[in-house]
Amino acid sequence: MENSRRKIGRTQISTSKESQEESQEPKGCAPTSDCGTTLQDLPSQLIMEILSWLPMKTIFSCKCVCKLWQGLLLDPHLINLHLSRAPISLLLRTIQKNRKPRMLHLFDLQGNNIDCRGSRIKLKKKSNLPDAEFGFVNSCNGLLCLCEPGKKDPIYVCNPILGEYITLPKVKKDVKVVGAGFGFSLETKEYKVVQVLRIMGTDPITREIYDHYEAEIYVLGTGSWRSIGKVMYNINAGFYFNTFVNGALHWEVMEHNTPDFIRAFDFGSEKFRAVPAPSAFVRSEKEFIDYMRFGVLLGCLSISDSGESDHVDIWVMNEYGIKESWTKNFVITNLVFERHHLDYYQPIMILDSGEILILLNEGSLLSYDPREEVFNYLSTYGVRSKFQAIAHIPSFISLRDVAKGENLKEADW
Amino acid sequence: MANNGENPSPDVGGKTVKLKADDGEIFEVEEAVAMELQTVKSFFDDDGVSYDTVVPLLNVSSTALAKVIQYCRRAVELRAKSGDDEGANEKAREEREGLEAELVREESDEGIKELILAANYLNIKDMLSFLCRAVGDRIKNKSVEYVRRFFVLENDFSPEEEERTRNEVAWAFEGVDAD
Repeated sequence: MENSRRKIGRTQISTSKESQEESQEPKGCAPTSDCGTTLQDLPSQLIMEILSWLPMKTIFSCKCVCKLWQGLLLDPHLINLHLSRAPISLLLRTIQKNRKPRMLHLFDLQGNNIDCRGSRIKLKKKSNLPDAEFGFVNSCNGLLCLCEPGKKDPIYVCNPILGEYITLPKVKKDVKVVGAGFGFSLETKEYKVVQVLRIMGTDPITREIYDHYEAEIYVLGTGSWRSIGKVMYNINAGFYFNTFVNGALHWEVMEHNTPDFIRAFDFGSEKFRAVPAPSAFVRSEKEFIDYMRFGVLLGCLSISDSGESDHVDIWVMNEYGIKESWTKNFVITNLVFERHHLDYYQPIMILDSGEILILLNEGSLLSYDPREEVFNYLSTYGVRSKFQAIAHIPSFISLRDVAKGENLKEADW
Repeated sequence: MANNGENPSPDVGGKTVKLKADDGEIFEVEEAVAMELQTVKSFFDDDGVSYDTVVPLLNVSSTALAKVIQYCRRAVELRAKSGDDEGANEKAREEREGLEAELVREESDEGIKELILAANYLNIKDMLSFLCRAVGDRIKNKSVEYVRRFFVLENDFSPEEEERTRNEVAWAFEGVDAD
């Protein structure tokens, strides 16, 4: 064993047994309280690391522990760390026929049975959500976009966990919103909402009838919509399922004679672009009934095709933008028949167990085990009516930060 | 020179480093393993400190140090196994996760606390990573009071402040485990 002695100008660490008490601390230890011997002395970075793994309910409990922790939970580092590792939850919106108040139910999918009280959090109007009739537009990065175009309601962007929301300006009376989408620009780090409008009317001078689609964009924090021009094809922007991948939302072009039927709206460039479809994929010829649904599975764009009555194909684009990377990952043959040929299957996400969480006809939640080829009906605690369901990451991202300058409404605690 | 029975003697011929726990017990470890402990690495990186020097780790108990050394030893071995082969990498990663899970599973709450404090003092990034997650698991779904006791934290809210905070998150208190 070599002794590497180098000339030094300070006290050498003593190695004799008698001087144990006088020996210096190893230099790696910072001179502050990082070398604590009790848990309360752990550095804030570590406390935040611990907190970032906690389920949301526990994080809320931790807010009440002491002032230091309450402050830590507002720290942007923790908020972003939490978002990056928060597991995806299931968000249901009940479709009530009677006058019951609308509610969202957030289900924690980590291990527990979702038919137990502890796995669910109720998100209510006035405390968590705007006081309106809302439907899902979509969820992105822990923020939720809601709208009920049929009721001429404005679009809302909210964080139901923090009980915050902003209201976007409504459209003019003679304009119809045919679809909207909420997303995030990776380049500018801004959250934006795009809406597709159908503009119909008669030119007062030429008396020509016009009927076309236009898109408008709203950047959170700016206060107004901005036109981004005509949309040249009829895109099906009415579905609320998450299709946000690679900085863009993905929609289907309704015209059947287009081979490139997938259009992406890029939130960075604010333009539509074509995305290659799987070469072996043939869209169902059955018109008026739409069997094809886009979604996101394991971070990749997916297509779920219920066109054939006896099986459902789920395609996944494993490498974004690469036509050859589309693979038919799942072929579900052991179908459950609810409405026979009118059933449609919407995959929501793939669970840790490898099972696929699927929404069937807006009323049934199923988990499909691709190995056993078996469906399981899942009952959700406290939800008895029909519902819409999406994947949502509960986060602490505050609209105060990402939508500065907006008129923010907060919960009425 | 005491040598903890759990730690086999280091390979003959390899460089070793001596670490001393708070009770005076000395652990002789391979240099590669000792350097996993950033605190120890910094100790030697300073000018003129020879490898013969026993590193005094006054804030680490011998039980904790033994476990830390055991983990780091396996971690170094597993890292050596992985290379360009994706299959081997995957296997090594699974083994490491298994190792971490086993270490955590066997520990009492006090044991986990002792380990995370030791890992913090010794500045072992990988260990801190999974130990933070383990501590998180220990306080998951627990009440405010439980978390305070676990971390030995004082409630410095006034009664009004506490009530206001609790009201804000009242809906989050459903389904909390009994202490």
